[in-house]
Amino acid sequence: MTLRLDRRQLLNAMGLGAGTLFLPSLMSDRQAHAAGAAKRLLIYYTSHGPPYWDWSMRPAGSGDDMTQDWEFSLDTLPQSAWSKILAPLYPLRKKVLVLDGLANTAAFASTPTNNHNAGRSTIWTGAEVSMDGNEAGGTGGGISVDQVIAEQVAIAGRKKTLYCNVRANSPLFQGKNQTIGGLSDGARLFDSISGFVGTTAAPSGPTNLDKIRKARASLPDLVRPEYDALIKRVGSEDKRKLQGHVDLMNSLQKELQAQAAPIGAVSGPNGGACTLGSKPPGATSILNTVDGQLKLLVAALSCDITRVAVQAVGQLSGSEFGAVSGADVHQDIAHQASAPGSNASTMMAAYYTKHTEQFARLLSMMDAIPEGSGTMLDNTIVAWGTELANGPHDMYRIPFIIGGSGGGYFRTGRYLKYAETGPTPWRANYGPQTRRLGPAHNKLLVSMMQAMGLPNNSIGISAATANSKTGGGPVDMVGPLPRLR
Amino acid sequence: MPPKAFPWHRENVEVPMAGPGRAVQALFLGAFVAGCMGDIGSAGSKLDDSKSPNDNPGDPSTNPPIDPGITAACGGPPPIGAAPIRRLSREEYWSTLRDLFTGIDVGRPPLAPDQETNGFENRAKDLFATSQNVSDFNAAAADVVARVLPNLAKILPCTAKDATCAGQFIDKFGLRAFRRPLATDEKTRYLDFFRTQMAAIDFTTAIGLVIEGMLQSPNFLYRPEFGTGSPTGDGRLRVTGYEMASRLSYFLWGTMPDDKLLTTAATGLTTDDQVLVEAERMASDPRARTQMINFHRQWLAFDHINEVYASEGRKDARLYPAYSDGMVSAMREEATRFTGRAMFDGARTLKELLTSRDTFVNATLADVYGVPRPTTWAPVTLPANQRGGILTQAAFLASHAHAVAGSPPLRAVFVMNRLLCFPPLSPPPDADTSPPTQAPGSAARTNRQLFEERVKAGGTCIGCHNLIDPIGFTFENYDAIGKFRTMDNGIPVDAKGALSGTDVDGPVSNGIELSSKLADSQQAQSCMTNFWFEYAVGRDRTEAEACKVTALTKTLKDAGGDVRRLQVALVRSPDFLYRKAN
Repeated sequence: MTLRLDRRQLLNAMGLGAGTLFLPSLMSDRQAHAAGAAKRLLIYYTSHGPPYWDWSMRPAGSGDDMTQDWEFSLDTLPQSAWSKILAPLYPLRKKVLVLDGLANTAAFASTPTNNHNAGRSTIWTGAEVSMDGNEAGGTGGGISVDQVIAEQVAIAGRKKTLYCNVRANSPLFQGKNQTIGGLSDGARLFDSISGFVGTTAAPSGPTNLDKIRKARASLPDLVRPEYDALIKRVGSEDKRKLQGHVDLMNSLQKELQAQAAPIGAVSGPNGGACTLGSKPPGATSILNTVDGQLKLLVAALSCDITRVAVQAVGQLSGSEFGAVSGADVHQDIAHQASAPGSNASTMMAAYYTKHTEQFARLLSMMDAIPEGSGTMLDNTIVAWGTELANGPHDMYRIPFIIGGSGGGYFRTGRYLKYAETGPTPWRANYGPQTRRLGPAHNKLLVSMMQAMGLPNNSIGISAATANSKTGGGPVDMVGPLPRLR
Repeated sequence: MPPKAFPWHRENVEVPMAGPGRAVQALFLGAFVAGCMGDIGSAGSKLDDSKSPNDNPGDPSTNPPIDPGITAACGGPPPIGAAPIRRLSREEYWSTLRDLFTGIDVGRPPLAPDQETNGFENRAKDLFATSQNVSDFNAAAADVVARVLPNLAKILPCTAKDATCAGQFIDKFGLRAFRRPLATDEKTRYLDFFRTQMAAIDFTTAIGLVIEGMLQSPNFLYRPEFGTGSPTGDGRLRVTGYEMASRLSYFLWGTMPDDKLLTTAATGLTTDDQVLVEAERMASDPRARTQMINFHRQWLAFDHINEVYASEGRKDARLYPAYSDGMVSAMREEATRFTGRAMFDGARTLKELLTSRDTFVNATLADVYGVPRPTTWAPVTLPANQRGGILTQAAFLASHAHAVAGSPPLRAVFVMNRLLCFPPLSPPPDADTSPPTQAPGSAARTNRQLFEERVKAGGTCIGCHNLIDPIGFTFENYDAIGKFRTMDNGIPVDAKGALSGTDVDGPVSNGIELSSKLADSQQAQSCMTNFWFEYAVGRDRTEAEACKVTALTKTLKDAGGDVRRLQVALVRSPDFLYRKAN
């Protein structure tokens, strides 16, 4: 049998045929975001947490008082004064904000459960941990901030979000009990966006590949009547489920239509070529895999294929950060890192230094891409948050770092310590009930939304009550985080 | 910075634990009797002779009798549970593709894993659409078609490259993809789409695009059911023949119906007898063997050894230098082979699963068990004084262990959750769940002694660990990779323990005896039955349905514990024969 379309051509039509194309820039999109709002968001999420004593910084005169707000300039901090874990950020010191003292108050306000579940369920949702979901240890109780923001800033026909996840228990949720999985494979990510770059229009008219892409983009039209027919007949619960599927299919269709355009739909930075590079090869280490994915995510963000991207990173293997091969990273290193100078703490600091190095590589990559009068990093918010505050499970002093000012929205180049004097919600139980907490990290999530131009003033839990040991009054969960601007 | 203190206990645990005896009872006994056991023992007292099993308000000719045991245990027509629409799980999707394109290797296109409940992947509530899987299904359809088109002749019913042939293909392939014939409007839509694409591109591509469309249809990805006829007075509806065909095939085979089942469904599967004839045929088919293993894979967490290896890596290299990819694969493979033999080829009982020493080893695994190395996978009977059943096999033992030694709490909690249906047990958030290690310079201790010291020092820990650890300690004869040992750190192993809060309470001398007590436990039988029930209906069992599990457990017992009889009894249960009217 002679096929006019061979397997290779079909593979190409699936999106493997990436090219480069010069197109006029999408000025209207950019202008819409020009005035004091961040253009895009990139979330970097890592498992466990760093030892506080090797992460935090206390230069002379900064004060070591946990009960007061204070700050210092990172720009003038001598390189030698940087902490072991944060040192890799020294070259980027003008473009980062280090936030010391925020609490995962949403976790404290939830039914106490396994800290890992609580951490990943709350860190980007600010919502109460759901205990009636599919995981006995609890799961996300509400929509995560990336989804909220993407809903508002996504460009029709482009990717609403891009989400890569290498072995982390996913911290992203479409809604209560609805975990989003993420792509673990860089090649799949490449395939899902390469069509946006497109190929030049053949002088003789559309090729078979163009026609196949167009036909594929019409497949949702073919099957939608079947969904609609079912939705009319089923009960309310099933209706919701099927309607959810249709909604997702409809947004996928817009992406497919954009990719099916006979010429590429996107342009690169400053109206230049959009280049995705080559398909990332499979990598053996988690860090290498993530590096490959971050490169693609940055390319996709720079070409405006998406405005919201997330990279989640699971537990590193011992060999990736210098621990003995075969070490039980979770039990023997992370959990044991409870005292400064201990072997486990030293190893956990090495673990997290690898992440800071990767975060610095990410920021540098974005800072090397010119955009307008500055760089891509300047117009982006890169937010790094961790599953837990540290290896031994704490939920206070969650180490957040913001990279990029979001178009001048945040005042970067500073280390901000927040006073830990606030009350603890009634159900708080990750540690002594009398512990005073810094600001709820929900407020940072609000700041991120507002920096992206959203009017939202809260996310997840909007009201919590302190326990009697810390005064019994209301706990502030709403509004933006002070001092960032 | 001053070092911080990390308290090992969660303060709010102190409240319910104030009176340990009472609290323990409240925590476990009450909860598991209500949560898992149902109402065992009360079947007789609930039997109400005034209601016959056939006392259904609907038309008897369309309402076959439900298993009378269930009606008896429930004291009348049993309540019918919800029947939410079910999306194919990842495993079901892959198996369905394999059978839909018989003779063509379409592979297993990448899909994100589904959410799980108690290890099970087929709960309707977990199988909602995410942007990830909608996008995966789209990409997978293209992947599959790229593999199918070069072999299209194998699935085309005709050779002419025209719309007539395409129409025949749409009918024939559509019936198998949708597991029912296409409605007229559906066929028209696909055929119109075909014609458009054939005109624009070519015949083969147009067929490929039709396939891609069908693979993204809700009638392929989901299992819609509407039932047929009028509802009974208590809101039950008979399902259609085709709906029943899918119920049977996804329950007993984990994949789509075969041609025989679809043929039968065209005219039948609407009476009790027809359904039971098919159920019997299917339960002894080789595909049921695969599915039997698949059920146990989820129930007994066969994937866990791979997950632990992926996240934690190798064991302590000084103690377990041979623990490697190859050994992990061998342990996993043994679980599969053993289950296939014990639960399909063999006696098919919980007793067989928990006590049999007849298993399979390759050379790598033979070293773990201390038996002669075969050249390839071969049957072996393990030593009676060392092994008995799946809980004494390497995959379970090594995946519930740390880098240096086994974990008595992890091993015990698994037994309690999955075999005895105790409610979920998680350590309090700040519990020190790291493996205890010996302080440098202190006297030698066994793994057991280290755990005992940890718990004694931990204040409230003892409340739960009094129940957990005596179960876990019975596995102390097995090290971190499941090798048998009689000495630990130079001290003789003490594997004595006890079961409490169960129907087989009392002292236990080791893991073999523990397994054999569990094999005789009604609670364990009931727990397993409950998982089978939930697997069959794709949802959690409700409190009101405890009587169904009671009756099914009795059926299982009366059948000498043969799980195949339980499968057939489940087919006869009201929730399988009927659906709740919307």
